Amino acid sequence: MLLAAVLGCGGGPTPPAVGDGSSSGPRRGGELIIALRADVDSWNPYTAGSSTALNVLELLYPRLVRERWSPGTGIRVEPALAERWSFSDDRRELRFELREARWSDGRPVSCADVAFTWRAQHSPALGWPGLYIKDGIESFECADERTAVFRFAHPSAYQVLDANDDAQLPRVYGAVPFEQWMATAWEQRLVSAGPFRLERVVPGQEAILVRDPEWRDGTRPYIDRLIFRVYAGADEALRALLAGDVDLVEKVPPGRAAEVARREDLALLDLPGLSWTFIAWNQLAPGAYAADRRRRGCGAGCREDAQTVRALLADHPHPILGDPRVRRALTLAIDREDLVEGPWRGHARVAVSPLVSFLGVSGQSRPLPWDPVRAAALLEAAGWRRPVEGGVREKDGRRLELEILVNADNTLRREVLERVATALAGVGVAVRPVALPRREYIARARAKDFDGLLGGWRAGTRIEPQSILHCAAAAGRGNNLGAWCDDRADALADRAAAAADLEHALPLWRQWEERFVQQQPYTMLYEERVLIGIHRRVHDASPSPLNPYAEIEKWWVDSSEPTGVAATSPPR
Amino acid sequence: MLVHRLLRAGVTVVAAGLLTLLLLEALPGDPLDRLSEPGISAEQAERTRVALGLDRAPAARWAAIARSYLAGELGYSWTRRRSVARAVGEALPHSLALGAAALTLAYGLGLSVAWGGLLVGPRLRRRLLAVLLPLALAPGFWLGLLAVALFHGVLGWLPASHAAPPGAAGALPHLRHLLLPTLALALPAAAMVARYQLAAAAVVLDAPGATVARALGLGRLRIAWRHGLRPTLATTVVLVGLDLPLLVSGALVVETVFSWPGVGRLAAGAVLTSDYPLALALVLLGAVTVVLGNLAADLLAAGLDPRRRLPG
Repeated sequence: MLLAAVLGCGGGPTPPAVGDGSSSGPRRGGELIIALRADVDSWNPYTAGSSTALNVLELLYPRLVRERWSPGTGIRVEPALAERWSFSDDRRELRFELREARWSDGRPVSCADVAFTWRAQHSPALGWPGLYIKDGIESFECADERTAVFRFAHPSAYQVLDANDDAQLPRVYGAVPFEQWMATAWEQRLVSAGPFRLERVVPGQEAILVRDPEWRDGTRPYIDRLIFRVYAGADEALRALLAGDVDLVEKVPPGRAAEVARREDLALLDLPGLSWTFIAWNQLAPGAYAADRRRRGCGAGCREDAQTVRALLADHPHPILGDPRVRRALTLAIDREDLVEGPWRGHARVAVSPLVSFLGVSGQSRPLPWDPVRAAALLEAAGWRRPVEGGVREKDGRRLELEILVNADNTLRREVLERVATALAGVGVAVRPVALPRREYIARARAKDFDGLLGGWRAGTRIEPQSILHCAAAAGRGNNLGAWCDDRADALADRAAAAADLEHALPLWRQWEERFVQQQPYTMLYEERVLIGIHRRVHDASPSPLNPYAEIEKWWVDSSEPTGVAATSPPR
Repeated sequence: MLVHRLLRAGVTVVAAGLLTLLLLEALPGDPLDRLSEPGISAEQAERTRVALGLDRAPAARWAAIARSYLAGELGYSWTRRRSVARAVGEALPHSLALGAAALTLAYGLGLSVAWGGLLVGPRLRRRLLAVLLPLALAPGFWLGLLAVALFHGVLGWLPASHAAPPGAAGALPHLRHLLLPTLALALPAAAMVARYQLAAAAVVLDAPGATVARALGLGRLRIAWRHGLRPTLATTVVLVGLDLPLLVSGALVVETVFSWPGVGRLAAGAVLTSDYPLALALVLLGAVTVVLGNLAADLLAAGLDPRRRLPG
């Protein structure tokens, strides 16, 4: 998935591996207890909705290739179910050679499984939301039992990833009609081909995975059992880690990271992240979009395109934020280092653009500095003047007041918004922070009924900011929340997305980034780092920003250092 | 009379269900936003909408729900990806266990303390009432955290969270897991019961009638039971009836602190994620229990105290 919303959710590099394993080599056996913040909602990756579930399912269902991240090299693609792959001369045909592997029911993995997965992805009855990833693929076929061939409309930068998404399913799942997949208890009929198999699920409590002895070479994984224990919240999970009841907690709240770091028996992994937090500035007058939809009698499925939004922007521009000088001034007035060092305790970095530093593609653009003097000058130039010293600016009798929405269930973001409001007050901008229940917050975001909206996105491993900042994404259910329609930026994004390879795309994306920084449709606040707390009895652990259980088959545990007394599992 | 009460109870339950649907319907936003990927296309969104019945008008949707309830079907939970009956069935035993243990402890302990308090003099009784007050007002989650810190963190005797897994052999693991959340839930309630019972009985015991009884040579124990505890027991029975829904509605805060997989967390999740079918089923379950609890309490109270019997 390319951009997963964290709209409604709630920072220096550290070597990510825990334990050096130098005293003795990896040992087989033992169990690892991992805290989850929610149940795995479905044991089929095509019906699961949460990132928690998808991370766990990665351990059960194979992919053709695996995206691997390491601190030195960034992301690279490695063989997984496919041993090797090759392109035709015209780069329109991609062939994957599958390795010998077996599903947990004993059947061999073959191209027929890949073909079945392809059918599932395209099933209208299933309605897989990631289907747009396959837009560039014209056809699929099995050349033989072990060779899968994807044919593309034209070469592009992400062909291997486009073909690879998502997990491969066993064709025996075809026994269940696609219409019934959402309502199927997959844990009761799960067939896997990953390093682990599902042993049992206790809803609301835990899920236990056991080592699959048939996986690949038979020596890995080293750990016998993974126990995913469900905790009601972040505090409960962290308390369990500190008490020694669990070995790994992902998403340690930054305000409590020091507690983990102080402990000798625990390690705090501080990884670059894909999530970033922003304030989207609405280019449309608040409410104009929803009013127009009502006027046109649009229901939930109303068809719209970029032209609809452009026409609206011409008729109903935001009276304050339609001016790029104002947006730029707002960014300049916010001390983003203060946000990083304050609420985030340094576990974040000031962001430049949606091309997050993790992707390693940023060009010359730097974050706008904190410069209230320049901010004030820009506001003056835009006609917003202070009638009295220290007061709220005005223009043509209108006060420079902005309502900024935030989701109430995220205390960190609420704190950030309070600081933003204070900073903007310093340059004569009155901010009214509005904390809303999640559902109302999303509803108002979708209706473009706000001045500013403090939210977050999580980037994928592809560069594709156009999914949130292209004019075409401003209509319908698109995610261009502030309706930023900039012809120059759109043209650059279109050319970059159509480039035959990354080498040609990157310069265009860098130009796009410059345009973004100049126009400031978003004030990029910070890129969040991923904080993982892990027990030091776990060796060679290398959680990745892409998946906290990355390469878990290489991890091993020192069983002489057991976890705490609270193990709920029955004796074996 | 009983038939009349039952009919009224039925109307209450249906009204609770309708009110729940109305409130869920009135929430701003599209439930689909919480159920689908943000990048979902309009076509895919529409398919999901149809599959979940969200394309129909509220009245049609409600009628469909009513029909399925009459056919004994509770529907499908969008967020739990399973039938509502199964989702509730997985959580309910945990809430029943915790609720039953907490109610038993709360009333057992509360009545025992009250009984003991009646045997002492008025001055000591007043002190006891004062001591019970902060305990009665203490939030359950705070007591829970203290109990975890002591019994799990310091002493290492008890697990800090979760129910025992189904495969755990014997009753002991289940009891060990149950103990801390039960204490967190029951202690404030026990203090409340003791205070309530003691205060009510003290009024009777401090009245001239009790002095006369003592003058007539009745023993302290007998006076405490006959004139203090027994006449006020009917009120306590009403309290038990009102607390009965705890058995099935769960206790959200304590369930959260102890990551207890009960109905309280399930219901909160259902409402927050706009999972209409699951939320509705849980509200109806709660409503039925409240109504039945009240009915049972009224009947029991009437049995204990003839003054409470309804005419006719």
